[in-house]
Amino acid sequence: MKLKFLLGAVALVAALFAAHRYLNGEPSFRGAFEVTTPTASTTPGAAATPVEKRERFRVGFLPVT
Amino acid sequence: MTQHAQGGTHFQPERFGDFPTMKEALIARKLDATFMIVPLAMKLVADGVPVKIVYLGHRDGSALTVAIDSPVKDFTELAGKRVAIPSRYSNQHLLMRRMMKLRGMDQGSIELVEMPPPEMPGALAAKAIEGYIVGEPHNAKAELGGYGRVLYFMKDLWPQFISCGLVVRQEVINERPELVQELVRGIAASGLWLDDDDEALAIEHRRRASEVVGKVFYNQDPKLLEHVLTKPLERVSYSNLVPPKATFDEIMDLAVEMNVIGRRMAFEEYCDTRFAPDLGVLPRVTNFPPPPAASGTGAK
Repeated sequence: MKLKFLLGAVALVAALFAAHRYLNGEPSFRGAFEVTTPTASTTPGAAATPVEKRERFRVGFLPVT
Repeated sequence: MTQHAQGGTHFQPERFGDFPTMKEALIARKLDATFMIVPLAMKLVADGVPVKIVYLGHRDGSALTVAIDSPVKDFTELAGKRVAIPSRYSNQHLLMRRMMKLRGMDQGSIELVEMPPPEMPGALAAKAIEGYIVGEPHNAKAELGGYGRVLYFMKDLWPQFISCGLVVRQEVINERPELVQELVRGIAASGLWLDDDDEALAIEHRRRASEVVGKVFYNQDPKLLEHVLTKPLERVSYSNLVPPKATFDEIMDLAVEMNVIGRRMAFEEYCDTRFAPDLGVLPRVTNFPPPPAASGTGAK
């Protein structure tokens, strides 16, 4: 009988420990959510906008007036 | 600094060492526009190259320099001497011809030899030539080097002398006139800034321009350029930059008479002055040198 109480107590402690770890652990999110979250340096929709390529207007000169 | 230089089009300066190479680059469409000696631009048009002179880069800015110990005191005393010119197709060449004509000298009385401008001061120091006529800073270089003496500034021989013009390919004028307009407006605004009505401000602006142009564009001692731009201020001017028909007609007549150009052309055939802005409403330069993001750009 004492052995049953002892095993029950050990099982309860283990269950409480597991519950404590689960409720106080670091939060985690789905990978997909992390990917679509905008960062401070990226504005929504920026990835879809093509990078502006500057035209060059070439002006020749000789170092003489 | 222009709107396009800061935000859209990058006006990229391309440095050359001589005019023949520059001419070939323009013909090969490696340049959209260039500052070129005016008679050479006229010659290109006469030869069928589709380009136009749309604006000037400056006025005066050239000098006739002789050795510091030369006995020559007057133009006529150059008779029998060897004088270097930058090109057969330069207005300096035509000026020498014009002066010989005005002074009643035979056209062959002064031996004119073509020489790349950077080689002229050295040739003078080595006594290979008696003198040379060319744009700055090559006259100032001989002056500051202690072996050259300016015999005449251009204002004394042909006031408001024209050396180089802004030459643009016709294709660019037709397809991107707004960029040509922007470039010309930038040149005009720079000119107003350098020729400020307040002489003290003009000197200060030219000193600042010497620092940037000397280090970034010309790779020359800023002190040399400061000498050119300030001693005296009239050595080179940046006002009256719209191609003047009467002067261009005179240059054309001289070029044809001296067999530099094969046929006489009407002013409108090689000039397009519609890009010249109204200086009265042109925004003034307020940010020189330009912000770092736009450094390395600029029309002049």
